[in-house]
Amino acid sequence: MVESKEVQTNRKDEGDSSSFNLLLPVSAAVAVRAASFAYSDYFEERVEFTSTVYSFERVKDGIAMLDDGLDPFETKNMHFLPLTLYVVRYLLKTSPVLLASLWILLDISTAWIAAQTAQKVWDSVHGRDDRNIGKLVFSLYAYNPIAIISTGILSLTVVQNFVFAAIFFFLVSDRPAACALLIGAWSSFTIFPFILISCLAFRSNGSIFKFLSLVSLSIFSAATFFALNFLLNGNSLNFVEPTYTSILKFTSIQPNVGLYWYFFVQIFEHFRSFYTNSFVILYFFMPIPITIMIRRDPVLHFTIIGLLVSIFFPYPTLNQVSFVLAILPLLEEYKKHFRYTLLIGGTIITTIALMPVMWHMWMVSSSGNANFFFGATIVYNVALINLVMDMIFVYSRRQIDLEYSDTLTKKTKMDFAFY
Amino acid sequence: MRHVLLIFSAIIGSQAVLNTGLQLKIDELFDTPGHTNNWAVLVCTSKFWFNYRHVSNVLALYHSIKRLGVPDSNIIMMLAEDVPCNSRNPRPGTVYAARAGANLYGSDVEVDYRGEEVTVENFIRILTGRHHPATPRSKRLLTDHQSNVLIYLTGHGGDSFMKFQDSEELTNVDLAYAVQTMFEDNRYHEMLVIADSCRSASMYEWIDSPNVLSLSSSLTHEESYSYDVDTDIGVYVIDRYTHYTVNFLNKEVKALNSSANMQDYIDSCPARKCLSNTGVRKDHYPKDVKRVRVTDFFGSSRIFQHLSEEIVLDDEFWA
Amino acid sequence: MRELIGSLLVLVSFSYGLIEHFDEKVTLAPVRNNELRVDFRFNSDRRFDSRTEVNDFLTFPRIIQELLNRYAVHKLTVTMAHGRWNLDEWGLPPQPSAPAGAQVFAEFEAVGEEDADERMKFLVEALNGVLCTSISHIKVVTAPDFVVLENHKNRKRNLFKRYGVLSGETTCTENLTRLRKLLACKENGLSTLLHPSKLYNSLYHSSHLVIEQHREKNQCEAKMEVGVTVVMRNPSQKGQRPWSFADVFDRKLGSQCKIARSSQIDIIGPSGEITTTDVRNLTAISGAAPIDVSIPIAAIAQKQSVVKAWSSQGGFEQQHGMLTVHITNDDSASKIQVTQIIPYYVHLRYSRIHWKCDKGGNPSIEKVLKNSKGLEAPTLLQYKMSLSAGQTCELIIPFDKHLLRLEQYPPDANHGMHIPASSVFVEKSQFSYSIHSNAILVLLPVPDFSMPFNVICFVATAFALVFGPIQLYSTLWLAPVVKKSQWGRKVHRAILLVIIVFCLYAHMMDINLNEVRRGIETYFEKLNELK
Repeated sequence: MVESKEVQTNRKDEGDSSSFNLLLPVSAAVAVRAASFAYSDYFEERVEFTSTVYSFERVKDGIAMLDDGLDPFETKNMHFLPLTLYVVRYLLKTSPVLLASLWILLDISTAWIAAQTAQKVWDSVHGRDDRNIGKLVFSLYAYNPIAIISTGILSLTVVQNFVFAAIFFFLVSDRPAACALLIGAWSSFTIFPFILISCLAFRSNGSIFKFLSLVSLSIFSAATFFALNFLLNGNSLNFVEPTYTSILKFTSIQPNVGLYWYFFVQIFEHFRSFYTNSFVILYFFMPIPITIMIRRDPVLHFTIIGLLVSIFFPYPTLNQVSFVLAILPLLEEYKKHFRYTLLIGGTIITTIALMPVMWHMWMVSSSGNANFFFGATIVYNVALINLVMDMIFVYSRRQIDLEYSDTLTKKTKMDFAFY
Repeated sequence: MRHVLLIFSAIIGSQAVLNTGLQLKIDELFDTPGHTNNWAVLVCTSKFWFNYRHVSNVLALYHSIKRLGVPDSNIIMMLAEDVPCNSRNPRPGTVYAARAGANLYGSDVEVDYRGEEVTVENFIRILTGRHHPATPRSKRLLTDHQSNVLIYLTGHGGDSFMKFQDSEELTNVDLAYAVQTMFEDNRYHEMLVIADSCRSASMYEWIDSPNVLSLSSSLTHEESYSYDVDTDIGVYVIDRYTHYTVNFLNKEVKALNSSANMQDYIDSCPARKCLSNTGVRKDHYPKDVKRVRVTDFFGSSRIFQHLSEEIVLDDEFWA
Repeated sequence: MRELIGSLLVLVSFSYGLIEHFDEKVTLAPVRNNELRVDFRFNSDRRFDSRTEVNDFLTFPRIIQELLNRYAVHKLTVTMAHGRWNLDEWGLPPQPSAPAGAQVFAEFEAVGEEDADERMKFLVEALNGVLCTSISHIKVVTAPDFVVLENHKNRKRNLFKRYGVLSGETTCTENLTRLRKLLACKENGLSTLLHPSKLYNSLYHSSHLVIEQHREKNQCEAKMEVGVTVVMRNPSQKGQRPWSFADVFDRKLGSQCKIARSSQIDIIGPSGEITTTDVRNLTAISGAAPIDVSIPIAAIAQKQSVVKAWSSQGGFEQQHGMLTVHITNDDSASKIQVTQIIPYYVHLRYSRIHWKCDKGGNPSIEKVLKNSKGLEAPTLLQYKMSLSAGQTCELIIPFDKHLLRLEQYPPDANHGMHIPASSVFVEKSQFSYSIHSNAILVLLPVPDFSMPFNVICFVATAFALVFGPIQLYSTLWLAPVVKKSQWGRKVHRAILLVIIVFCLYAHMMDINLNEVRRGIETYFEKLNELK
């Protein structure tokens, strides 16, 4: 049922990992990250780089409460799982420098894994050619200022991107079990990434049984993490409400770069539960049509689902999409069909540049109001959504190219028809 | 003639007054009231110091109806702004409705809802009687099927709505539904709704419940105007419509047995005085307003109804 | 005659074991040149046997007894204040000390924590009825571990405690009226001096109601204290003439409270001497011949030194802020217990809260952080420490200001919201007292209140943007165009165009939609009439 013609992965490729010279780019990336720690004060409270579930400063609040023998989950604003708190607490206690170097290591590994995986995909599709796609992907992630700053402020998105990259790697290198385990583990923190499980449909060899067993594997992994949290929290379930429920019910409405915060500030109380439920149901329903639609390209599918995870997560930061944007060059064969490349690229850059300005106008100088910042965030999100839309379009367009390439002329118009 | 009668009646005793020819003649001019108790909901919906006049509107009317016998327990007063103890008030603890008037905020004022408690929700709750069980009696409108209810709203309004606290609106549909709920719950006998705001005639246009008489300070396309400014206080101190209402009550309705009728009251603020045409809606009010005493709504006389038939009180009643 | 009836009543009630007393007292003390502090204290107590308890009340207000019984209250303190107590000049504040706004402290019996919360809700509403206040939306914290108010310092087990402060609450004439109604003598005696005309024209005024009930076996004792404290400034700028009652209260004392056990006027002189006048002993007092007193204008020479506390706010933007509570000890060592309520609309930066002390560095500090259950419940921070003489300590509490839901904002959201005053309980070897710092007003970030519909539309559109294509591409197939009729599209566009033109027209012509509706209605009415 599910075909994977284009990505023929096999383990023989693994030996060719160092297809480009690593030393210089890696050391440069490490250097800028180390330098960014010096400027962390400027960014650690920025709304663009932190959110209620990723801010390291807030993790510290939780740790301080643990140190004082208080239950951090009594406060409704502690959105971190006990596991996060205890692990970071252990790392902080051991050595803060270690923490910083660990974060740099994770971020560089993300870039490196992304590069390796991209190279592998590229080689399997295009054969060995001169283009060094790995280096491009590495640079796109490693020198992305957003990723650099996020490392500098010890944002938890760095860990998330690492997991993201690892899932991509295991997906491409055809290790669905490891993939399922990682997806489950990650979902146990923020729930929303669970729709990545639909990517495993491409790795089940068309067997629904295998797919279901992969799903149960990832649920098992999530349950294990949940149990671990439960045990760490002294056999108490009170962490569920401030963490899981707050994600599923969008309870925290503090400004971030996501779609929902202003909506749930403004929504009328009677409609709140209707909208929370609709948004969650629609989100978890989305991968089904997409998986049915895009059945011939796991990489494109992964990119789309990854973008959706980032866009529709209630408390995102800008760094959320860094990884997906870094692997975009893999969509080379669709490039000519993208309709809004310039528009989307321009919009994303403009809105990211405008966000601090709007924020300043609203929060600091009070010369603007909340609509200004909301405007920037919604346009940013609409740009990302347009990117998704365009990806779905280019897929369909390319299928036409593949099937009717002989009859198409440049002037042929495209339209929708019942199939 | 009247003096003679008065002296005469004083000698014979009060019982005789009711039987004198004059009193009977006066009574013939009016329909027999069907109510036994009177209630009033007086609402000032405006926040901020410069809306001083809305607070004094309510207080002036409050004192008038209290003078005519409506007790504090039967008056629900809502004041959205603490004007008397506002730090801008040059005379702390007092409110004046006229330059040389009396203090309306003496030591006998009971405010039931004040400040942030004056919300559309609370207003609707008062009317419909659906309160949180903890709400004290003084904050409830405990009316029954024999109550005449006066609802007086003052504040800033627009076409079809009245602004509460500068942040939310009571629409005319809300008001109509609340009144209809009251009717269905048998919570009033007759009702008088007065809206004193700009475009206030729109406030009553959806009310379809029976026995409701509605008045307003201006028609839907008109503004209402304020009456007097006190330069010491620095703000307008009363609105025209309420000023003439209170004036009328003070001059024409000196006591409970006053023979002023509702038509007199309706005519008390003609357009040349009010600078706006007052609105009246009588189509749901079955009586002739000329045969209704003003004190049926603005006063509270003890009216006892005699039962002529025999009534057996069953166990349910005593339980 | 009246006294006879009174004593007869007392006699009757003795047979039930009922004893009631009423005491009244007013203290006048000049605190500074031209500034006078006036303290009214009205105490009422009632002893009765709970077995034979009858609903007889002589001087004790029945509503208070009902309040005590219905909610099983052991002790309840309500304070209302306006203005700020000047600790530097005026010395020790009246106890229980009152922060600006309203404050409620209740100790009562309940079945469990949830029942206690429910009971507190009812109690607050009942207080609204009794005192004409509007404190329904007070946010109550659960059971403070350390002492908050001096009169609630005794620890009792099995009792549920609830504490709440509402800084924005105003207090005005109607509250005073209600307090007066609780007194045994409403129309004569010292309560006649409680006249609003001058009391609210003052630098500071506070009032409190403390009620408590003890039960030992069958013997019950209920107590009520009503207190009013005012600090007023002499309006006459010369300030040479001594104060008189007419200056202070706008009236003289023209009557006695005959049923009071004691009724006295204390005047404190400049060197601290107290002149007591017992009103009950004055024979010639009536409306025609009122008494008046002469109050010296000089300030009291020896001021009692007190621990001082004040709060300040740091930060320059609407996202982060910092609350600093400054506490300066007086000239002897003291133990202090600091209580700060943090409302739900600011987010505590717990890891950054710290103390900063001069002279000898930070003392050892015990701390408690408590979160109350329920939506919009505040957080309670409490600290216990010892200060050496003259030491100044600062409690620094950084916080993030929260964006709230639209309906959580007060009507004038741009005014800001209060962080309540912190309370400091001071324990010396001989005595103890509590003081309050000032509340601070926090400017919260506000959304645009005028455009909920726009935001809902925008976000819903963003959603539609992703679901539209998904639906489209998963149900239809993209194909090269062969030929297609354009009529459907043209009609569709024409309809859209008409709607847009109408909207623009309505906008330009200032057409009110209600008027359009009215026009249609009258048209139909005319049609009906024609039939």
